[in-house]
Amino acid sequence: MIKIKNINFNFYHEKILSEINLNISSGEFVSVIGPSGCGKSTLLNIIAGITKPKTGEILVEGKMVNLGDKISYMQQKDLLLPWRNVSRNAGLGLEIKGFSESYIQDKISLYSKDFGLEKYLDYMPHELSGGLRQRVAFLRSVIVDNPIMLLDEPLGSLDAITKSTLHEWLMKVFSKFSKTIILVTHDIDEAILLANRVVVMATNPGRIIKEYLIDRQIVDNRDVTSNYFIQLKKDIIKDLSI
Amino acid sequence: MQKEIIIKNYLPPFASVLLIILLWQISVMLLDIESWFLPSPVNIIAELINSYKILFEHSLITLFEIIIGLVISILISLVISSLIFWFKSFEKTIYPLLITSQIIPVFTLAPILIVWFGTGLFSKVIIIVLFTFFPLVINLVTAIKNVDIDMIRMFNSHGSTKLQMYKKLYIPSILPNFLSGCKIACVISVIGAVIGEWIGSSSGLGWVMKISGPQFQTSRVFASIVCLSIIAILLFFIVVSIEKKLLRRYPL
Repeated sequence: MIKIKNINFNFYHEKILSEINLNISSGEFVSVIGPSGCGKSTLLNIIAGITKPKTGEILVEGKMVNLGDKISYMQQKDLLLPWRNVSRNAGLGLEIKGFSESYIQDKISLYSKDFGLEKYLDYMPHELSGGLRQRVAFLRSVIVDNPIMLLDEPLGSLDAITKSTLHEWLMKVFSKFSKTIILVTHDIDEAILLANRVVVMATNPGRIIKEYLIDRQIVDNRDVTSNYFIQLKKDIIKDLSI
Repeated sequence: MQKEIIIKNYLPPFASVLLIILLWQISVMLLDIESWFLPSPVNIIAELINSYKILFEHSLITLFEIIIGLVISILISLVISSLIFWFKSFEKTIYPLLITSQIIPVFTLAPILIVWFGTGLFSKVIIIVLFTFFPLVINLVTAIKNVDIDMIRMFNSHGSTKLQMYKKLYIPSILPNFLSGCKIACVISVIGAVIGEWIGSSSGLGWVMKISGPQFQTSRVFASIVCLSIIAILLFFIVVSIEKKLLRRYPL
């Protein structure tokens, strides 16, 4: 589905990303984990098409894609427009794509239940909790029906309890809407709990050093004290400390 | 509850103004100051009542000049800020000119403008524009530059065109700054109008003040100042009410 080929990226003379190659299949959930400054977010910006790489290309189903065409990108901040209510924030992506107001409203009504937002559609962003704001941002990304979603630490600013609730909810939502997802995170637990594959990056320059396939059957019971989970976490910590 | 809020918000400023007026009146009476030197508030009110026809007529002339000047200033600032959004290099071209326009005191330019454009409406409007466009432009340019880069990325990631981004992100983002600039412009536009009328005119409150001073009609000078203050306050509150209406759904 997504082919990331020989991506190199420099910021002035500093090499930020070096020879990034990654193939991601349709419906796969890939977590990218790595220390700060290893270029994870830059990689997502490149995949989204916002940043141009020095060399290399991103192909989706064998083709280069235009901005916003097949890929939705959700950043760490919810980026809700403070002057729009929940409904109008959620429909922003569709509005940009030129859909009619009635189509957008119908779609929001259809999706809002799954996102637990049906009661809040008229609320303004500042009237919502952090968790709810994040759900609106998810809805804005999901509703445009792009098959690929890029998530840049979307739960990074939330407290542990809200985060844990959202993990469970996210798994349900993503399995229902069957998206291909690339998640960038600092949180090793989150990376393992959500993904089919964990990609570990190192810094100076940013590069992929290891990949782990996750046994979903074991992880799906969310037992973070299982031997499998603990061993996996230890291995990733070891990779990250190199 | 509503009454309590009104008292809490409006009583302190009202009381402080009333106190100053009261102290002024008492001082003039106790020190027996001649009204041609410093008229008492009662003298000024009497002048406002007696000369209301002249004052009203000239207030309308000044208000008209101010409104034309403000509208032109707002249009200029919107055009400049839009050009800066659409063409990044335009900022580098226009900024030195904007700064230069403020380094030269407008007061020194006024006599030249009167020579060039005469004593009609046009020269006064230009002086008002020179006074008011700078805070408007600076507020708008600052707001444009402060739009969150992540918001811009979010719009880009949805495949937004530049026009969509301008309408859906930039205009609402810069609106609070634009209205703040308008409030400043409303207040200082009065200064511009008075300077223009003072230097070369045969009408307007500035002219009334200019001819009343040498005739020791000090009460009329003060009455004109009261009228100018009322114009400034009126314009300021019009912008405040527009601001309240437009920004009612913004988090404050």
